[in-house]
Amino acid sequence: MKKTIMIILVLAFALSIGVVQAAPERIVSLAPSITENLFALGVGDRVVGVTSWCDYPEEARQRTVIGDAINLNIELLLSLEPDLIVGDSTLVQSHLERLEALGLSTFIIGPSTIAEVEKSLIDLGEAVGAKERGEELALAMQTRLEELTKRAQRPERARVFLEIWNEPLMTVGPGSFMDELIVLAGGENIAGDSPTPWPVFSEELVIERDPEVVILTSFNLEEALSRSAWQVTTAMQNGDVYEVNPDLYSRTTPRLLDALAELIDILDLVATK
Amino acid sequence: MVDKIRLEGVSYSYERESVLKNINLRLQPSRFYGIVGPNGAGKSTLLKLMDAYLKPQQGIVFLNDRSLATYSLSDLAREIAMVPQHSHYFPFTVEEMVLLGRTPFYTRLGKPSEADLEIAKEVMEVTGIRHLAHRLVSDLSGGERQRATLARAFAQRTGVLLLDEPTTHLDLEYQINTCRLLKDRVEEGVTVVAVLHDLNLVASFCDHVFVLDKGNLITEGVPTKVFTPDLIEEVFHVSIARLHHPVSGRPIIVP
Amino acid sequence: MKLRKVSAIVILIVAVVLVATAVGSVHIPLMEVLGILTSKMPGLSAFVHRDWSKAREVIVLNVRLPRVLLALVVGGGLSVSGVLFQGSLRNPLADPFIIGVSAGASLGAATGLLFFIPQGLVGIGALPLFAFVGAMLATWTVSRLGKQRGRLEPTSLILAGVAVSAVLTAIVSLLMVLRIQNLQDVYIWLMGSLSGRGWQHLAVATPYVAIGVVLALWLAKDLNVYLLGEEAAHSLGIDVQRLQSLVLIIGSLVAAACVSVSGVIGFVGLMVPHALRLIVGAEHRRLILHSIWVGAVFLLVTDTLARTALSPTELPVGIITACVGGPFFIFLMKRGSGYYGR
Repeated sequence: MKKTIMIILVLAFALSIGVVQAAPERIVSLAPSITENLFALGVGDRVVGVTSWCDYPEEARQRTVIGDAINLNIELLLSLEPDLIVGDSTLVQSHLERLEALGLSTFIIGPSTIAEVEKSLIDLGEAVGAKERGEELALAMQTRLEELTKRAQRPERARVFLEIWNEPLMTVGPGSFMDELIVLAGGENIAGDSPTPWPVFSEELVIERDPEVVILTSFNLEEALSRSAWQVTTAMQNGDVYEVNPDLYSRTTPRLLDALAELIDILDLVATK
Repeated sequence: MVDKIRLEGVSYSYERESVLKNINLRLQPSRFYGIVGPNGAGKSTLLKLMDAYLKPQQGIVFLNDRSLATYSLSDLAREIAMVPQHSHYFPFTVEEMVLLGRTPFYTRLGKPSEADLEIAKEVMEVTGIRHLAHRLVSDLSGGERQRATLARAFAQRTGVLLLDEPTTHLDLEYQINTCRLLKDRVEEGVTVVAVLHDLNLVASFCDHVFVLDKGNLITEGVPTKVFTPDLIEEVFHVSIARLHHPVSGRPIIVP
Repeated sequence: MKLRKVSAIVILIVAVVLVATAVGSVHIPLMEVLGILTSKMPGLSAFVHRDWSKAREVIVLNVRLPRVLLALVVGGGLSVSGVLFQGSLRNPLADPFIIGVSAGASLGAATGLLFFIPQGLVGIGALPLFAFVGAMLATWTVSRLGKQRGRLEPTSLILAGVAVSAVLTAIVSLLMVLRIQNLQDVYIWLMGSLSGRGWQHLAVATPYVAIGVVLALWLAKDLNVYLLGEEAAHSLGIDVQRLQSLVLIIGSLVAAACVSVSGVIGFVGLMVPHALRLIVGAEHRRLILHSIWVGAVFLLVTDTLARTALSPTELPVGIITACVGGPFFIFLMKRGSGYYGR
């Protein structure tokens, strides 16, 4: 008799936990990095709404587009009847408050370092009922990170300029994960003394600090190579100007480590010269 | 007889420059006063002091034997009407603009009363613009606009009418008509004070003229006495000859 | 005659509101929309059978309806504000932002986003408040600078407005360049839009606009006289300085309230009063009354177009207002002011 009661109680308890912590079934993502992470967490089939920039993985493109990261079509979003909306705190905030005011559940992440990216995977995993998978991903990232950084031990740090945009000339500074990538890859960010994470930089300083590697993230290789003033830099002289896929570098997902790997390969190449 | 307007020891300066010095004068009802003088003499300023648009640094301006300072703005509006030198013209109809002259008499949420509309009709009749009542003021010719402005001032039905160069830029017909209309008002008992550039108009129509130069009241009196070649030479720096109008006996000034 | 006109206008407004509430990115049949609306009206709700999803109800009642009503309020507010500025500055080309309201609001919003909201001192819902305070401070600065010989002079005011706006806008741009914080919210807000606005925005803006309208009508008679010129107005018993200050304050308050909830939506406050003046004349009581409903309907129609024309993408409403209003203005100019009959 006691045993039966115990079993019933345990079952009821387990059930209630299950009910209270029901995983969200209809998730809307407000940023491409979040979409990637949701799919990585294995809940991609539960994602019903994405932004127009969400292009990875391929399946993500088939979900309903509810706007880009700046303009959100709230009507469409509501019509999807989401039970969780995941937003990025480094992007637009006003939408999130608005959505909460309409009674929707929101979850916000905003990692700015690689360690924070790993944590966000765990947090996001927990929020969507894929906690274990989240922890797996974070662990995998950490492991891979350690392997990669071992490879990146070189006697000297090459001077790197990572260009976000050309007009105005924007690069990355300390506090951004891209700067972290450069450092982890064994390079020295020539903008490493900037006061802000996304500084507008001076062309003069680029020339004076003479980067050995220039990384372009906006598909402007031809334009960059044609800059007459830059011809004097070591990077241009040695042909070490590289155009990379910005999605790998700018999205706070496990693919950041792909970017890291690429950077390491580039710096290895440069070191051999 | 109580003076309509009296200035005692009035001086006005603007940004440390003296514009009018120690002006003393008296104005009576039923008179047409002219104010003349070269540019910069302070004529407009004198008018603006009379309706309290400006306040004198020294001296007092009296209206009906009471200092202007004791009048409220709305009381003043029922006593003195001013036709300034420059007017702005927005798309009002002529009738609307003329009715604006009745606003000192409206209530706060006021609409024009029957009486107000009657007065408006009357003054438009008198100034010959009744047929333009529904035209937009901004569409009228210069002369027609001036008459509309005049009608508006007449509609105010005040005891004093101040005009700052009401005839400048108008053609001869309008100039003379305006002065005739003002003369009519004078006969009704109004004190009309006008700054005029045309000495002949002053000579023909004004009962009394004040001559200003560099802020001082040089002289005053009937045109016949005041407009001597010597005076005009001294004040205006031109030499003229003076003739007599064969009918009115008034002086005519020619170069 | 007047009553007939008023009824016609009211019917038009109700019709436009219904249509606007019935269209959007998500297709909801008109009958359903009417059902949802009726279900919330006391007394009538019993007659309606609820057969729509919660999501649709939220869309109609919490997304579309407040936005539609806000468009009416902001459109009417900006128009009345435009009338007041054009009147007090005696310049038919003035708009509500001319003496610094928009630049001040932008800087206020940027300040809030930079220093207060990230620190968690206030939520982002406080953004309108910052914008409002910024707008009023800027206006006050301009009015102090625009005084000549102790009088508010229209030309000086306009010049001071241009100068102060330029400086404030430069500061905002500087802040955005320095990118100390992510100011994307400021950028969006600057563009002027009614997207994502809800009942709380309506609650913020409506009292100011309503009071402003009442005060504007109360001052209409004096404004008429003021248009004649300062000396003439004085001689007709108007305290010119006091009137100017009052009108500018009221105009600024209304404009600031609108800008604080909707950002800078240009063109409405300039075009509507100006065009109406060419049609109904400069008499201010008539002008203000017409500006309210024409401005309201105009912004509602353009905003509805903005969110449906290229659905699901939303255009900034300022683009539509410019595209619609510009050619219309040219047409009016060619037609000439001419006669007008009642």
